[in-house]
Amino acid sequence: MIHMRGLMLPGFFVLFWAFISCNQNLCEEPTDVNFILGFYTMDDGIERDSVLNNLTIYGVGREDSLLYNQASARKITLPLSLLSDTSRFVFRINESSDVCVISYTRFVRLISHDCGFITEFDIHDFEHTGINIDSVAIIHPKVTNFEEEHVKIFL
Amino acid sequence: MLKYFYKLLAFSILVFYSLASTGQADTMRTVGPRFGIDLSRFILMPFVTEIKTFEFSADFEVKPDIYPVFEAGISTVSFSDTNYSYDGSGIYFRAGVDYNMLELEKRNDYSMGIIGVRYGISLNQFSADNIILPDPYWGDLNTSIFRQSGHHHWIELVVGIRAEIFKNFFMGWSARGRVMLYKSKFDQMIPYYVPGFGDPARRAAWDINYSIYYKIPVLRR
Repeated sequence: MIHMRGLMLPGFFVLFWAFISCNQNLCEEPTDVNFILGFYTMDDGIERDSVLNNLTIYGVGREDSLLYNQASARKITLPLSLLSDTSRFVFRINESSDVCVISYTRFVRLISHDCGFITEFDIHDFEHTGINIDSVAIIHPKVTNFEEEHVKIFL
Repeated sequence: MLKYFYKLLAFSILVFYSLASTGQADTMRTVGPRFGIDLSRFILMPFVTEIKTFEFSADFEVKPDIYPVFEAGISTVSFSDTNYSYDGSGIYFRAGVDYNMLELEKRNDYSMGIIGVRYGISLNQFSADNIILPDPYWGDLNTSIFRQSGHHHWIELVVGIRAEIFKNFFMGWSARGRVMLYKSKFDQMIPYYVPGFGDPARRAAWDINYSIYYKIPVLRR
């Protein structure tokens, strides 16, 4: 079976090249973990995208550091605290404000040697004071480095 | 003089036995336990510097073309950067069966085109120190993950070839596709690498193997 012996090295080198190509120690995976929320309204039972104007958002206790300042937005990205299992934000729309409390579990994940660690979250709960916000739906509770909308906020 | 005679006799017996074996080879097939070492871990070492693995295997031809297989290995993972360090280790076992898809040209033909399945189990532990994750809004996280242990189970499909290079010495490669069946739940982080499987963040993984083997010729049939 000379032909089997002949396949021994070329076959391995093809596999070896493919394996090394797939395992190169480069950081090709995103390292940003974004918690993404979208605004919606219900119109005769039909869900519609909504753009919020004059929206200001900041973390409770971080009034000095605004995340959004009188902005117009259909989607927003909020930074979840790495130091706590709860993050609190104030959503001010025009002159009235809602306080939102987001509860989650934190996990750290080592992506690769070059990328290093990221923190991922598993959202448990999203409470709000209901002034401007009608309801919320957690559609994707796992917040990872895969970019997707996690929470729908209905106004 | 007698010493040289005995040496010549021993050599003659050896040559005769070798020739006799060759002469009978077309009608007799030797079987016995075959032990292998995976060389691919050493070949890959310069490219995958953080993971060190030693793996061996054993199989036995119970019926023509049917080879129950047992594989075992040990791995260590260790690396660090400016904002973290990671250490892990573990052992793994795989058991399954290989089926030879090639038709034998001669009875003493041991070349194999393999398709096989394995069930794999890995027992591992890991820890991480000095993890610094920057957060300009709420404050940076500086933490350590103390040693955590767990086990993982998977199923594996094997495709490859194997050939006898010298008498009772074999060489072979295989490509392996793995699907995770069970993984332990960890409180704070999942391991970076599961020995014998790969990246546990993904449900499926693939790998290569390049082994040399020696078969102990126990039976002739």
